[in-house]
Amino acid sequence: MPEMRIIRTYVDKPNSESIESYTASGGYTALPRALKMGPLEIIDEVKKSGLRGRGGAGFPTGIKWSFVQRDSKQPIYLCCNADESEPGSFKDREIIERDPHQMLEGIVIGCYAINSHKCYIYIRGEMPKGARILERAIRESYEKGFLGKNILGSGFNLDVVLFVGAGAYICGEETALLESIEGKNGEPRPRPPFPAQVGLFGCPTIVNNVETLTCVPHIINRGAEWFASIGTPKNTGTKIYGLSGSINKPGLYELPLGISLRELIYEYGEGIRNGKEVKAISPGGGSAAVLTAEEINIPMDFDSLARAGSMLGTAGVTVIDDATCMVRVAQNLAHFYRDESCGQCVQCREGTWWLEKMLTRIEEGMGRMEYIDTLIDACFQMKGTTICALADGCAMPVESIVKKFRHEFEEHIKLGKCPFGNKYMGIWDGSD
Amino acid sequence: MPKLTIDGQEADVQDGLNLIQAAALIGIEIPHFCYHPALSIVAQCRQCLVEIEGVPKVMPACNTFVRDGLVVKTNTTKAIKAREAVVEFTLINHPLDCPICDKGGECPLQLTAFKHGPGYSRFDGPEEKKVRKKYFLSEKILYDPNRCIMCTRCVRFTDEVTQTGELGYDGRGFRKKIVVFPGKNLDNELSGNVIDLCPVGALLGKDTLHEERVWYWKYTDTICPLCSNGCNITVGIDPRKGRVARVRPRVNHEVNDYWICDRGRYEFKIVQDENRLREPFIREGEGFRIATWDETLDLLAAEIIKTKNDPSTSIAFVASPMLTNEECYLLKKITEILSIEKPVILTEPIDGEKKFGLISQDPYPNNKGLRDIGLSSDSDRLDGVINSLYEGKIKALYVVGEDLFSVVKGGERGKLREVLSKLSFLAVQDFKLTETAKLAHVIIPGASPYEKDGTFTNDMGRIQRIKKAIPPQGSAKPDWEILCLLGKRFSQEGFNYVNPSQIMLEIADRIPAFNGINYEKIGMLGINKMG
Ligand SMILES: Cc1cc2nc3c(=O)[nH]c(=O)nc-3n(C[C@H](O)[C@H](O)[C@H](O)COP(=O)(O)O)c2cc1C
Ligand code: SF4
Ligand code: SF4
Ligand code: SF4
Ligand code: FES
Repeated sequence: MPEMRIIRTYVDKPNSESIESYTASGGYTALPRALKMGPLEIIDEVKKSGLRGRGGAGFPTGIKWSFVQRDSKQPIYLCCNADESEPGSFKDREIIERDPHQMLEGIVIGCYAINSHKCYIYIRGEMPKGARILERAIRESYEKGFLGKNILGSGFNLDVVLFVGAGAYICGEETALLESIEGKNGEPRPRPPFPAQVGLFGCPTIVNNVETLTCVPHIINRGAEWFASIGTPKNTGTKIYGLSGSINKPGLYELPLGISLRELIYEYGEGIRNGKEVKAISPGGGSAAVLTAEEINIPMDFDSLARAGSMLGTAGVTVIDDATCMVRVAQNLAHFYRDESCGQCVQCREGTWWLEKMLTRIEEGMGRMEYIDTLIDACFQMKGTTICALADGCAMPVESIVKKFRHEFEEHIKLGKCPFGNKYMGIWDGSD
Repeated sequence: MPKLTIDGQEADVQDGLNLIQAAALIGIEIPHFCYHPALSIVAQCRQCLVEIEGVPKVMPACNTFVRDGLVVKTNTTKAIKAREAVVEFTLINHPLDCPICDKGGECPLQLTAFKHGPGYSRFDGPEEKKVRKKYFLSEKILYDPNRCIMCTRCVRFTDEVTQTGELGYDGRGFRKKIVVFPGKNLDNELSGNVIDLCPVGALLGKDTLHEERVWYWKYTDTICPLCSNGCNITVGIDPRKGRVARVRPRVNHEVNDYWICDRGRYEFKIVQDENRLREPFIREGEGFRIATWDETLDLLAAEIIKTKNDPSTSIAFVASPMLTNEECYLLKKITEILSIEKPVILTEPIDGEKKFGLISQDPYPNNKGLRDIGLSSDSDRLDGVINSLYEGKIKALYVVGEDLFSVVKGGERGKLREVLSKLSFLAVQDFKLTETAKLAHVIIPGASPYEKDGTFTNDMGRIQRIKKAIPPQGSAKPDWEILCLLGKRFSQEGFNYVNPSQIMLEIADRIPAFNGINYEKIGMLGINKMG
């Protein structure tokens, strides 16, 4: 079965990142249409399309846009979040490197809708290639009059600035991203106030994910109804799923929201590597609670995964096979979040450190039975108690692993060593 | 006035308060570290978590503001557990070396752990705690990253209060630590305040490092005598060594807010230790001999009467703005009884912008008060005392608390020395051995401002009480007591005060600027002059 490509239509074409390629395939035709529609009508259209944020939280984009006080005396900013650093996520990167004008067109339309004349694209420091391509794309758009003063004779002005981060996962969190652009340490801000009221440089600001903005030109061109007809009633449109881990055909797949996880893994990913079985699946980036093999029929959309106690997140699906040690998986995740915590909140700064310590001890055969409940309790106290969701992002997968694979933890402790020989994701033992 | 409910109690509170403040108003304590009323809200320490009806997550009380109808619960299992967990997390990497920590005994973390902690830790193995090296943030402040709970109060202080921005943090997450920005020094004149702001023993004063357990010090609330701002302070006395061990700010929003300057914090030592006078002295040939109080004061009184009765000479009384209002009043009262010229002040108040809103350029605490009492400044006299001295018009001098050599210009010191040595009589009353005192015929040992009671009037006209924190050294006496003893030698009545509070009652009666003032009204925060 083929993918349902909307965003990814041209990614395999040579030179797809150039403006010539984009315009030749019908690019920048949504923009003049949008400029004729008027801002409120655009917001309405996006609301009707049911588009939900692709950055992780799935917040309805049209509603977010309507939070901005359009007649604000201060400048209004749009920030395009291209910091993509979630473990197992690599979808935004492809858009940036293979078809950046789609995103730029979405940015112009978005800015026009929220009455913003300046957009910052915050790109992760570890994506120098993407930054180079984006830089060129921005220059091309200026040259062709899609950016800058009086865009397409509409009187609307917009400047786009590419901001290269210094490489921190936390800078993808929207308020940390704002701090970083302001030249400060990338640390999330307490809310309230929310960025839509007090954002970048104290001005009203909307932060949107790359993929979210990239959906916008398609909605304008083909209509909200068309977009809403894809997927399920509350989870509309296509989604770019990233498959990785122990899978035969890792990569990106654009499919309607709501497709079953089994289909994704077995039809598109062509099953598990080396004839192994699925043990667990991380369905939405490293921060999502893991699912077991029994849960594999779940529809991959925001609401179904939330009901299952996990989340769609970035839809970066990592498959874990039965040769993998789950304690090791949890330890690896905790290690990542420990290193990426900004360190403001004690539950996160010390909690991630503590989880990593306990998990390492268990993995190394020095754990104690009490650790298991302590892990669960520590995770519980890390959820919903901090400034941003990074602490939750560490606690949710670790807690789910401990709860769903408790027997593996007990086995480690009883044996005094790792029964899987420290295998991580089955295939990665340092030699692969 | 929003009406809200906290733990079932209704509270009508002023708009704009956060829940920590609102709860405090009705006697409910919400533990907190990063929140400080003088600093921006960052909601980082997460210690203040409470439940709000209708909100699924626990919320930080510091960043939640009062609203009509808000129902706050600090005492639900969920809220209590959340705060206990914060304590447990906070202590995971905390050394808990309270027995050797200077903060121990007055440590908010210790108190919070005791009152709001779970009472246990499931983190095992102290050998596994992360350990990092201590280092100095400035010549006077030592930083212990292991005790630091990353509340960023210190950083916000240099960002927001002094706006000098010396402090920042280095590293992320568990590696984070407080550092001085490259190329900067934590040397602003308010820098010592970060020691008090720090809710743990992570910022330590080098001057008192490991000197004493805080509970052995005795505390006295008084006023800093080192400039005309009159910052409210609490001095800690080391009872074994019998001296001031440390000075800390005392909150007074009318005067110094939460802060004091580093002079006030560290320089009390100079006042205290340098060249102290401990006994009365009478000149004998080239040197001095120790004398009894009676013979010293008898000699002083006799010389004053002698000069007064000799029409060919005159005597001048010089008062220093280091003296209290009560002492000046007594000095003036003596001149009135003797019908001689009023005491003069040789220094002028210095106006001008105060640095950080509190550091005044006028180094005296009571220039204003002395003028309110009715002493004249030297410039009011046609020729001025110093000129009269040079011209030989004054033959005798009684100097209380002032060093004439610090008043005249550098080039005139030789000349001053010459005329002072030719005086028929020079009496100096002071707590330290000044250049002037070295030329005196009689030296009377007084008390430093930390060693007596009284009042100062700051440059904004606020009358504030100073309190005796330690006894005067040796056989020295508070100046008001000395002046009473001297006064009694001229008049049977009018000098029988038991304490300066009685003197103030008389001042209030007689001097309009002090009308209606008494020590009770002044209280511990002072009172602005009436009218
Ligand atoms: C720790 C953390 C990291 C995040 N990283 C990213 C990121 O790299 N890219 C992104 O688009 N959103 C990221 N987010 C989500 C953003 O905060 C924000 O919700 C999103 O950019 C909003 O865009 P959307 O409404 O279009 O989804 C992150 C959130 C957290 C808590
Ligand atoms: S939850 Fe973690 S990453 Fe987020 S603000 Fe708090 S300490 Fe920083
Ligand atoms: S900071 Fe407080 S809790 Fe920590 S060692 Fe010092 S006294 Fe003990
Ligand atoms: S040194 Fe003290 S005041 Fe500064 S961040 Fe650490 S705990 Fe807070
Ligand atoms: S006092 Fe509220 S989070 Fe620190």
